[in-house]
Amino acid sequence: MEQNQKQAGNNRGFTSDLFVGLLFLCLAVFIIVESSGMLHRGKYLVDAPGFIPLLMGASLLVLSGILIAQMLMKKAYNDIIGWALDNLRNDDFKRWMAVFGITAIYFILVGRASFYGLTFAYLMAMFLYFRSTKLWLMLLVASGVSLLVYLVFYLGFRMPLP
Amino acid sequence: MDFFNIYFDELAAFGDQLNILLSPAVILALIGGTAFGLVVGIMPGLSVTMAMTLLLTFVFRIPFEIGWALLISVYVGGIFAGGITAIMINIPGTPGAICTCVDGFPLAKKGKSRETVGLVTLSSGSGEMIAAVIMFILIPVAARLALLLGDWELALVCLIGIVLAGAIAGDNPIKGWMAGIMGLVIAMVGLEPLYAYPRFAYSPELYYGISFIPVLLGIFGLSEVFLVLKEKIPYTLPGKPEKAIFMWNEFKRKKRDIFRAALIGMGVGIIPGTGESVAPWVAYTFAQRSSSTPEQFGKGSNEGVLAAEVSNNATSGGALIPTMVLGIPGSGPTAIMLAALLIYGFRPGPMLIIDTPGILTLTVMMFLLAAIFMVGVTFLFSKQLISILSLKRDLLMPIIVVFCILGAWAANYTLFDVALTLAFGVIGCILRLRGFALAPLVLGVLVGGLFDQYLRRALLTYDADILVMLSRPIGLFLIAFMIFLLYSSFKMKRVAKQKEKEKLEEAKETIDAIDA
Repeated sequence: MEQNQKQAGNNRGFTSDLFVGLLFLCLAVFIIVESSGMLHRGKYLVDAPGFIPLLMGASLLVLSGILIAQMLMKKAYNDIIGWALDNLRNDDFKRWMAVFGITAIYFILVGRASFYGLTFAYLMAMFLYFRSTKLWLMLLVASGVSLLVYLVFYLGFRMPLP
Repeated sequence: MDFFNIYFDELAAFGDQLNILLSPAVILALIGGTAFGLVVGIMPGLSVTMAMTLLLTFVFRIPFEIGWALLISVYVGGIFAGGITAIMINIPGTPGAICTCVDGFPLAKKGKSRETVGLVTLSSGSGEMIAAVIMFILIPVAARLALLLGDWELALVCLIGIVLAGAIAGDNPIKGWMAGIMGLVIAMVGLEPLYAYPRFAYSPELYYGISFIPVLLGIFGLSEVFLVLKEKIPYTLPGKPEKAIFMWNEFKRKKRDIFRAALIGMGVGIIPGTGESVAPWVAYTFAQRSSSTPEQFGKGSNEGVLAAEVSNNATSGGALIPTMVLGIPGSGPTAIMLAALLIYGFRPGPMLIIDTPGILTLTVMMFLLAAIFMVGVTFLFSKQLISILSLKRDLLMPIIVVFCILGAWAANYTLFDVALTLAFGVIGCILRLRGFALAPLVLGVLVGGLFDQYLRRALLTYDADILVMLSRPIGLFLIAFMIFLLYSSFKMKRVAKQKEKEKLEEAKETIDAIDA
């Protein structure tokens, strides 16, 4: 039973590696196509702006090809749907999405609202989501960090904040 | 004979320099600077370069010896603190500390954070001190030797770093090299240096290229936050945060390892631009090769941490040689030191030591004292350092995000860098989940621009005749060196796997025997 579960886990890992390998393959093709268009400058082909990126793209193509081949030999293509469903139902994935979502909103709003207010709101949102500690302590830490940013960066370093 | 005259002049000036060095103002500057460097270094996102840049705006208002002491001590303290964050939160404070993560963080997770912080403190201090002494002896010779490296050899040094990091940092070298190539390509975004041709520049911001700070913060900082907080119960470091434990006896037994790592750090650190990032990886490979327990490397090896940290700190002495003697800064902090020398009216270059006898002795002694103060300050405040970095992860990680944003913003004061940090955070998270080593990626971004420039210039110089390039003796030596290091790293990994397999089989047999 335990061995079967371990095997299934390994297969899921192989499928993920296969997808990452495919992503790298696409990236390699993109680099090759783009850098081929930069070969007209320069005295020789070797000093053209696109020469080194072309070399890199070709190397990446070979390496991602090897990775994909390794995964295909391990039959990573079996049960792709199961792999996708597993990922979507996974609690870790849901938590990851929540953390990423809150953080992404913070990043997007930086520069559009007061940085101190945003920082306080972001920290409170994260602490509340994780129920990190008691409410008064959360408030203290969030406001303390915002104040620290003001004192150290704005007053101390005279750094303009976003 | 010239060399001997330089030494005699320096020794003649020794007494005067000692008086300057022991003045209360200089001592205070060294202590304050080390503490400031430590504080800046443990905040993810704040770099030594940034701290030194801020200092540069007012150092010219104070006497040279105090300003110079401040800059040197911030440099020493900041580089050392980068290793502490690498151990405690798996986020290297400086690019040189990336290698420290490989073994430092697993050790902290095993509950050995106090011992590891102690080890890092001693290693960094000794690396810095050995490098300072060697710098004094070698400065007139080494700078001339560094000039023997042509574009082809410099490109090879960049390549050695990426190939080694790819092979060492993860389980699958193919994945490591893929990450390294990705880093190299990222470094090529923007206007290229030979023809100012825009490469992969799809927006006005991309014309300036992608700076390494948002990449480092995203790849190591944000991705760590995402990975830790996705767990239902984020990990906590075992053990009560207390003072660092200094294992003197074990440290004394590693004299040979320390000297080897310091020499590597010093030797590779001399190479402008690439040396400081590459040296820890070379030292790490040598340490694994000579270790009696190579299977522990990557899982929490004291020897691995020691090699990475000694060489990382020894590079600062090495990097100062081309800065002072040739006027070629190899990194951000050394560029600021060069600027400081110019502000104070010195002329960095081959004539510096001859025109200003005593400056070398003063610099070396300041490095030595800063290293001693660094050990002292860490000894006194290690409990506070460990306590801050041992905070509950769900409290600490969101605070790190705030510092990541500030660090990314401070790099160029653009929101584009802030957005890049988020993008690299996601990329780093996905790659780490799939076992890709991220150190080669960041190393690629760091040295990619130089690699491109050196390789293309070398190809132009030799009319693209690869055979002529390959026949250059130093280049040939570097290629042989790379193959040798790669071979030993793979051999060590194979031995480690074999040992692990044997241990598993032994354990299985014992369980079977008990069951029977």
